[in-house]
Amino acid sequence: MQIREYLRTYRDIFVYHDYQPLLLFWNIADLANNRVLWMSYSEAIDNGMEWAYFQYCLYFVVALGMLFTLPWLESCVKFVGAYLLLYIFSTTRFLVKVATDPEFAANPDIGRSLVVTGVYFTLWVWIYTKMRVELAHRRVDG
Amino acid sequence: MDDSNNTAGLVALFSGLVSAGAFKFYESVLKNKRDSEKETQVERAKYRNDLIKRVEKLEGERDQHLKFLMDLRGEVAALKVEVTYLQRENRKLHRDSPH
Repeated sequence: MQIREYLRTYRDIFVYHDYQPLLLFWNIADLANNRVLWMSYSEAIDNGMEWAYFQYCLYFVVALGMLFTLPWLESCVKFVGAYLLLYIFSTTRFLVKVATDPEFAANPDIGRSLVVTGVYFTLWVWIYTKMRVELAHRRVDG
Repeated sequence: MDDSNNTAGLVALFSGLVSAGAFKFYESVLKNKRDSEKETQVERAKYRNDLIKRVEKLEGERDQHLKFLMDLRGEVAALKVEVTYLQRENRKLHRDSPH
């Protein structure tokens, strides 16, 4: 019974708690961790990371958008949706590479990366779903 | 690399479209639910207003009937007194009449 109650508190956190503080801290961490801030475009070209640099730029712009539109749900949800799409895009690329490149798949860190990617994906889906549900309720209730 | 980009692009596009459609559907379901709740509330309000009117009408009728009953009780009391006097007079007349 106690274990049930304990697990129920986790379910309640998942269902009822708000996402805004998490989103705020995540954004700040994501912006600070973005390679665009720590690497120049010429360095990226030298390292053969043009495509990745472009992707980091997109992540940076979308994360900035999320950070500045956090008080306005209708605008913020668009940036969160864009972030989620970018995430799906890069994750699918990663999965395709794992599936098609045996050398890449042999990397011992792949399992860890897959688990972390799965958790982050769940996190973004949770945030996006909560926002969309809240937006739908606001639209319907006026 | 191009293949993975295309696949990823398609997956992202498909996910975006599906999620947009799903949330639109959710919103419409929610709207229908709210509309039916509002309808029920309006019906309940109508029923309540009807009940209030009926209670007001019945209370008015009850007051009228109570007044009528009070008048009737007064009349009955007066008639009782009258009957008592008449009976007393009748007995007196019977006693005094020559046989």
